[in-house]
Amino acid sequence: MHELSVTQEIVRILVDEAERHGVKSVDSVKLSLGAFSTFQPYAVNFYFDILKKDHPMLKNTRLEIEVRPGECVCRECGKRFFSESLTQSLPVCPNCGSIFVEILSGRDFKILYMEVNDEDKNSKECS
Amino acid sequence: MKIKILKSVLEQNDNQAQINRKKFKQTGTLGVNVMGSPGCGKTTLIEEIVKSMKDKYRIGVIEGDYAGTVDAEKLSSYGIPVVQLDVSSCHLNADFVGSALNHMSLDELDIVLIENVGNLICPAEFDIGDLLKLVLYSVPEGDDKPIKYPLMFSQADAVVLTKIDLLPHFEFNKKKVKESISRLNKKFELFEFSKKDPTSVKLVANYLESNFRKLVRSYGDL
Ligand SMILES: Nc1nc2c(ncn2[C@@H]2O[C@H](COP(=O)(O)OP(=O)(O)OP(=O)(O)O)[C@@H](O)[C@H]2O)c(=O)[nH]1
Ligand SMILES: [Mg+2]
Ligand SMILES: [Zn+2]
Repeated sequence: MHELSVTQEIVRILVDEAERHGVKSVDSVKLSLGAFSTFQPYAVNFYFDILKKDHPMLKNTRLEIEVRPGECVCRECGKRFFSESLTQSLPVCPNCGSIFVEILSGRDFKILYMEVNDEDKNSKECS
Repeated sequence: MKIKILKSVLEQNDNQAQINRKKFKQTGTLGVNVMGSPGCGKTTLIEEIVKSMKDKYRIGVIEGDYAGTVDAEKLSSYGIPVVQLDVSSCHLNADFVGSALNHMSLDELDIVLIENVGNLICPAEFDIGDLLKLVLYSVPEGDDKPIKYPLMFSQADAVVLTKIDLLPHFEFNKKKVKESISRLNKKFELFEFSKKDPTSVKLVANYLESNFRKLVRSYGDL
């Protein structure tokens, strides 16, 4: 449910960057999502498809959300471990089964880059 | 062609949160984020805190309700500044709180109590720039909540067990709760509150008071 506000923020950043670079149409956007983030990609995509309609440069834009591994340490046995995929639930220690686990990395959600068609880019930057 | 962006989606919120936090520190105002499930007793506790502290401290309230103004109206009746935010979201964010702060004279306030939207998930993800986090946890919710919502409990400066008068009617093992929060959080304080026992707010009020003093002391050092 809190995906709506992060998706609004994604749209705001994309519109901003597209305008700054004089881009008329964005093909795709690459995002990276930490494996321990609580944001759900399907929900981000769902809101994005609604919100993008208000912005001509995003009309044909696809989001590519790549999940980045996150690292944890178990508070009970001290084991460090990684998760490659979105956990969607609490990390569980693979060594002792404990759920009392500290997340060291993998809670971030970043916009990496956008892919644009060169012909769509107007001459703003060149002039 | 690729255009690099490399921005955190939460960056704008985090920046605004830092602005809010700086404002609280510079004016020596203790901004308190009051979080917990819907109906866990946030407004009730805030009301009791206001009643018990308002003669000694200048208190303001920010009400982040999803809909309606009942909570804000109730609190305004104590003659303190109350800003109602129409949040229409599952959490407060730093922008909402920033705009509320623009309607308050922080220089003239000692403590601002911010009632977040009732939810144990989303408010934990969005920093609002507070200086203290109170997590309320009511007895009828059952004693497994810290395990199910670890992020919220791991961030708490203090956890207040509310509706403690209902203990005889629910299966709620206080010891188990304390243990499971301790595993997530190394430094929290634990309080018990019941609106049926007017003295129970005292310990929470003392806790706020000592944090306010600490803030003012560090403010003097600046
Ligand atoms: N028995 C008992 N009931 C309480 C206590 N504190 C609050 N309540 C009741 O719980 C209900 C909800 O209390 P509120 O203070 O409105 O809770 P809230 O967290 O502000 O609720 P929302 O703003 O809707 O999320 C009310 O009916 C209160 O009277 C308590 O200590 N004991
Ligand atoms: Mg309330
Ligand atoms: Zn372990």
